[in-house]
Amino acid sequence: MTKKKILLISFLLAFCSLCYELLFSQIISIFIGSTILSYSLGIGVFVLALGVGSFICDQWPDKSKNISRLFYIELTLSLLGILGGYAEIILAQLTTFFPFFLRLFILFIPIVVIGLLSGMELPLLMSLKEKTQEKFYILGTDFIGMFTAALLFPLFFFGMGLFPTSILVALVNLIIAYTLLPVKKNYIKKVIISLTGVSAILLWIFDSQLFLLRQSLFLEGIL
Amino acid sequence: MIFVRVLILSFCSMSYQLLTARALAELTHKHILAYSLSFGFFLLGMGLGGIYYGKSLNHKSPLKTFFYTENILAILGGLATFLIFSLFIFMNLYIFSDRHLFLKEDVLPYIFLLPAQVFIFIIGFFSGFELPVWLKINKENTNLSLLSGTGALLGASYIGGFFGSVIITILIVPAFGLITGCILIGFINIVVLVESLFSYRAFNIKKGIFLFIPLMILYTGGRWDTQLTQLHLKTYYLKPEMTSIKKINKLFNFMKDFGEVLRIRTSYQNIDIIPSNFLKNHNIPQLDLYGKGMGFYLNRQPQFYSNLWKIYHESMVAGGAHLSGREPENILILGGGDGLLISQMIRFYKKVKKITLVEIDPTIIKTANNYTPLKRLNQGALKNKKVKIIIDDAFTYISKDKKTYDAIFIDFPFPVSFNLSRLYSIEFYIRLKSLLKQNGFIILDAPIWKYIDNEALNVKPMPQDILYSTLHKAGYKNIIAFGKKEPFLFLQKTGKVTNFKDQKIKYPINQETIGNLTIIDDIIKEVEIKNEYVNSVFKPVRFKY
Repeated sequence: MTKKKILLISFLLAFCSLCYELLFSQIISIFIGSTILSYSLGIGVFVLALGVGSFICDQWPDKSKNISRLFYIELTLSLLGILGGYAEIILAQLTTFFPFFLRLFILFIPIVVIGLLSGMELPLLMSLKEKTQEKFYILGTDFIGMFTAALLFPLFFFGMGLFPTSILVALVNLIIAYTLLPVKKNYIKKVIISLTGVSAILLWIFDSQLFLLRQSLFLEGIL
Repeated sequence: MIFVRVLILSFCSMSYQLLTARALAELTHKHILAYSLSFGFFLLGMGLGGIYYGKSLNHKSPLKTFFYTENILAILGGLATFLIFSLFIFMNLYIFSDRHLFLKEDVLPYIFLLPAQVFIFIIGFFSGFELPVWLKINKENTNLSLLSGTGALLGASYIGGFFGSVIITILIVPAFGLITGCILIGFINIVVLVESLFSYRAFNIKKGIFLFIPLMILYTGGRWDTQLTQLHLKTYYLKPEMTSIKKINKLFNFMKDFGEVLRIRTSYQNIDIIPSNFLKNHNIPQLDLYGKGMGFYLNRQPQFYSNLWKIYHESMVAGGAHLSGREPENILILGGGDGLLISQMIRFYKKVKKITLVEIDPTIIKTANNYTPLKRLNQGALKNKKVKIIIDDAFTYISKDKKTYDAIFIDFPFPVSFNLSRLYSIEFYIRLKSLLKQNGFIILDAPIWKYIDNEALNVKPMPQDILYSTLHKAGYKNIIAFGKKEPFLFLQKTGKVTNFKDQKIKYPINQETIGNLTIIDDIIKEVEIKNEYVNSVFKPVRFKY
C-alpha cells in the first residue's frame, strides 16, 4: 500500500471513530439528560477502550493477516454506524426502569465497542510500514483526523441530524473497507460491502420517513 | 511504580482538559461545541507534542524534560479554569457589552471559545511529552529496549484518562468547583513530580527552590477562587461597560461596593441568588427588571424576581383555569421546585386533590424549604400534604409515569442548551399528550420572543416558530398564547380557541396579572409553521436567546 493511501486511510479512520464517539455521546445525553455527563464519561470510556483495543491488537500473531483484520473492523464499524443509533434507542428503552448508574453503564456499551475497534485500527495500519518515521506520519494524520472530526461535528454534522451523519460516516468506513481489498478476488466481501453501502444510501435517502420510525421506536417502550 | 506515575499523570492531563471544557460549556451554554472542540484541540496538541518530542527533545535527559514539562503543566493546567474565567470576565467587560449587542448569540461564544482553545492545545502539547519521556526513563533505568513495556505504559495512560473523566465528573467538580478543582489537580501533578525526582535521586536544592514557583502560583490562584467567582458573577449580572483598560481598577473598586451573589453549585446546575441588599444604594438600569428585590437564576438564566414572581405564577395558575373553564384536581408540575407555583395553586384551586412535582435537582427543593427569603415567598407550600415531590429528570419521569392528569404545568428554564431544548422536543410533547386527560390542559412558560427593531435578532426561526411547529406536529389541536408581559402557552388535545373575555376572572389576582391575561395575537400571527422547524431530540433546532 502506498504511503499516501495509508496516510489518507489513517486520517479517515480517526475521523470516523471520533465522529461515532461524539454521535453516541449525544444520543446518550438524550436519555440521561446531561450533555456534560455523557460527553465527559464518553471521552473517558472511549479513551480507555482505545487503549484496550490497541493492547489486544498487539497480542495478535501473524501480522500478514492485518489487512484482512482491518477490513473486518471497518465493516463492523460501518454496521455500527448504520444500526448503532437504533440499538442505542432500544437499549435505552429496555433500561428505563434500571438504576441510573447501571443504565449509564449499559448505554455506554456501543462507545466501548467503537473504542475497542478503533483502538485496533492504528496499530494495524502502522504495522504495514516498517520505518519509524513513516509510523510517526501515520500517528500525526490520525491526530489530525480526530481533530477534524471534533471541529466538524458541532459546527456541521450536528445540524445535519444524528442519524444522517452516522450513515455518512458509515459510508466512509465502507469505502475504506473496499479500498483494502485487492482489485481482483474477494467477490463475496465486495458483494457484502456493496449491499451494505446500498442499504446505507437508501436509509440516507429515506431519512425523513425513518424519522417517524425512530420516534415510534423511541416512544414505543414508554407508551 | 512507574505505571502508577504514568496513570496519575494521564489522569491529571485528562482532568485539565475536561475541567476546561466544562468551564467553557458552563460559560457559553454551548456544551457540545465546547466539549468537541476542547477534545479535538487537546488531541491535536498531544499528537504534535509527541511528534515534537520525538524529533527535537529525544536526545535530552528525560528527567530534565520531565521536570520542566510537569512544572509547565502544573502551572498552565492548574490555572486553566482560573485563566478561562479571567478571560470571560475581560470579554464580558470589554467585548460582550451592550455596545456589541448586534453580535450577540451567533458570534460572541465563538470569539470566546476559540482563543480559549489555545490553553487546551498547550496543555495537550506538553501532555504529549509524558508518554515518550516515561518510555525513555523506563528504558534508561531497566536496560530494556525502548518499546518493551510500551503496551503496559500505554495501558496505564489510557486507564488514567478514564479515571480522570469519572473522578472529575462525579467527585472533583461537585466537591471543589471548577477553579479550585483544577488547582488541586495541579498540586497532584507537583506531588508526582517530587516523588519521581526523589525515587530517581534527581532531587536537589536548585529544583526544590524552583518548585516554589508553581506551588506559590497555584496557592495564590486557589486563594482567589471566591473573589474571581464573585467578579465573574458581578460582571455578568451588572453588565458594567469598560471603555478603556486603564479604568479597570476603578471598575473593580466599583463592583466591590455591591453585595455578594450567593452561588450554590449542584451536580446539575449553578444556582445564583442575588439577595435583596445586593444593589445597596446603586441604581443599575440593567437590573431594572429585578428592582430592589431578590433575583433567582439557574445557570445564569433568570427564574424569578421577587417583585415580579406573582404576575408570572398567578398568570399561569389563573390563566390555565380560565382558558379551560374548569379547575384541575390532579396536577403534574414539571420543574418549579422553588415552590412558588404550588403556593398559588394552593391559594386559588380549592378543588385540588393532588399535586405531583417533578424536580431534577434536590438542592432546589432544599433551598426552597430552608432559604428564608424564598420560604417567605412560597410560604412552605412544598410541605403541603397534597404535594408529592419526585426527584427525577422530567423526560425520564414522563417516560415511566402511567397516570393521567387534569393539568400539567411546565416551568423550565429557557432552552439555552441541548439538555433543556430536549424538554421542548416533539418526543417530549407526544409523550406528555398521553399523560393528559381528554379535556385536560398544559400550561408552559413559553420562550416567546417579541420582534424588535434590531433586525439582526429577528432571524427565523424565532423560538415561537420552533414551538408552534413542534406542538402542531405533536398533535395539539388547541394552542393559545397569552401574556403580554410574561408569555405562556395553553395547550389542549382538542377543544376550541377560547379567550379571557369569554368569562369573568374569579380569582383575587392583582391588577398587573389581570393586565397580563391577554391573548397575544400580534406575535402569533407572524409565526411560521414548518417541518424544518420541528425540534426533535434526534434533530435539534437551536433556540436563539
